[in-house]
Amino acid sequence: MELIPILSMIILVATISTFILAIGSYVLYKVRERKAQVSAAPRPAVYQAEVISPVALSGEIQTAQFQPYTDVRPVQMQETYSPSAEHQFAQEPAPSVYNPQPRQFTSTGGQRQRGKTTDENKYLKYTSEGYVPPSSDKKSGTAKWK
Amino acid sequence: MAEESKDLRKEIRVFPFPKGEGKENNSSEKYLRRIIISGTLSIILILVIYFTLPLTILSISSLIEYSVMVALLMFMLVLLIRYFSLLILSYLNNNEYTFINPPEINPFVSIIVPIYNEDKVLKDSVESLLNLDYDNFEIIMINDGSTDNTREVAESLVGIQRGKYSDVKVTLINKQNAGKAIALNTGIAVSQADFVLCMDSDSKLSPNTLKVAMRHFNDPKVGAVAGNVKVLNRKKFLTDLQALEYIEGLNMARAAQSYIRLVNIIPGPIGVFRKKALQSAGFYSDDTFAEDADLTLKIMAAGWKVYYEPLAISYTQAPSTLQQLIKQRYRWTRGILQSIRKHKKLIFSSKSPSIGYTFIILFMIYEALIWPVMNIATNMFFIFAAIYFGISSLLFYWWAGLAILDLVAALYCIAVEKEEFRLIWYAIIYRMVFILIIDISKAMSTIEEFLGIKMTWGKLERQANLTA
Repeated sequence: MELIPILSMIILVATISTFILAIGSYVLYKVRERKAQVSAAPRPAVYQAEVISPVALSGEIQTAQFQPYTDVRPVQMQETYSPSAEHQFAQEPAPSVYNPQPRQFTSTGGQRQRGKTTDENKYLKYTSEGYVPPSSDKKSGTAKWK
Repeated sequence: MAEESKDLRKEIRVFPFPKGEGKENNSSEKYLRRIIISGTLSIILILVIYFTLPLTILSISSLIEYSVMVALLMFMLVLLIRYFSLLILSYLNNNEYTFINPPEINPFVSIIVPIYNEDKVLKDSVESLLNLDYDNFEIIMINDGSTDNTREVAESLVGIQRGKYSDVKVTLINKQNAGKAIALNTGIAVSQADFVLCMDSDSKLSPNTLKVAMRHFNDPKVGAVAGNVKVLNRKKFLTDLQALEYIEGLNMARAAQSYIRLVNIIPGPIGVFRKKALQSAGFYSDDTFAEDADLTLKIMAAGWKVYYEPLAISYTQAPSTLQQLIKQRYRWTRGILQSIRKHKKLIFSSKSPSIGYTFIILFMIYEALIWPVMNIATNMFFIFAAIYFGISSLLFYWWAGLAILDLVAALYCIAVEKEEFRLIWYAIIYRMVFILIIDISKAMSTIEEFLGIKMTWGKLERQANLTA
């Protein structure tokens, strides 16, 4: 059998299958669509929306002048906060084992007795006689190479 | 990701800007009457031919043979003219694009992101925006009454976010569900910028999108710039075919139209607009299911130029099942038909802004109505001929001719867009399988549109964590 009739047959089968597939998918889509269809609610003339926006940028982006929020209710602010006496006492916990009374702080005048903090043998120098403290190296500073 | 920032909550009232111009009432009766009249006239014509044919030298079989031959030749001629005119115009546009390099500008831009039930992909989408090579923009998300977790995800993104070159203000508008057109209009109303970029919340933009798109606004007559849409979720048979369709079918046509500065559809996943152009067009309308096509026609009718920028890329999720694909194309087709119907009065009217505008609407009519019917009729003829007259080698040669044409077009488009070369092989079955499915869906949608059957806005299932 020649190649071209076989290919023609394949193309014919593919075309018929595509037709069936396309019409079948379309019918299926319409059936599903009909099942899922719900009655649309009447559309209002005006929609309510809420804008959530960060505060105005500092510096870099100022091209768009963001309109500040105007509908916020003004909040009465006091310059300094002073709680009432009743509130103050209620907030202080009673002294106990877990919450001892604060002890009086006594200053030492900024003078602290310092102990020896470094060991003399911490930094040793390697010589032909082995590791020696830098102070006992008599040849220190002389030329090693001649 | 979100920085500490204080939220300002403000109640706003959003008006659905334009009132619908469509006259829905009695439209189904009107179109049904038209179909009945045209059907009756066709039957009368067939009867006249049948009874008068014996009086001529032709027989019925020879009449069918000749008419079919003429129809096939016309189909091939139209196909070739369409292909080569698009190829030549897109080549000229690419040529011009390569050598003309307008200077960069960076005016303030608002990116409008309408969201409806997109909790899986919203964060990725906003992150792609924060990665833009542009230092003067803000992001406005509009939650269109989502019923899933979208509101929480969106609120977590609100604040002053760290962008690539500057801090970016991210704002959220929560509103009750009213459709994409009104959501976009709400965002545009809140925006204070002179330019807005409208996109889909399931799309991701390439980093240089704004930088390259904004250059075209140096020309004060350019009202909008259409971007390049590419398929994000590839490596599946159906999505790969759509990836090829977006490159060969949609972008080539858009590049060709861009040469005459009249791109007929600014795609939903990416479109940059001059605010003045939107105002003169009357913003988005909610009386069609293709608000992007409708707005583009309105902008062109107002006398603005529309350009296509191939480097302003938006990666979007394509339907991954046949059901979803048919749902999407059903909406597109009916939406485009509704848009054409709205603007048909301008086709041959003295009010038409230009000859180019008339040509673009006629092209849309051809693509939406004539071409699908021609393609389906040709395929049906081959099935009919093969069954009744035996399988002919003509079937193979016909398919081979179309496949070669598609391969050449695919090769050119893929090379121009520096796309994946593996997609070329899909061109072999592109026309015989994929386009046939799409055209059948288009034809069915067209019939339903003319019968005035009610439709709903389809929502596609999205996949999370896809990378471009």
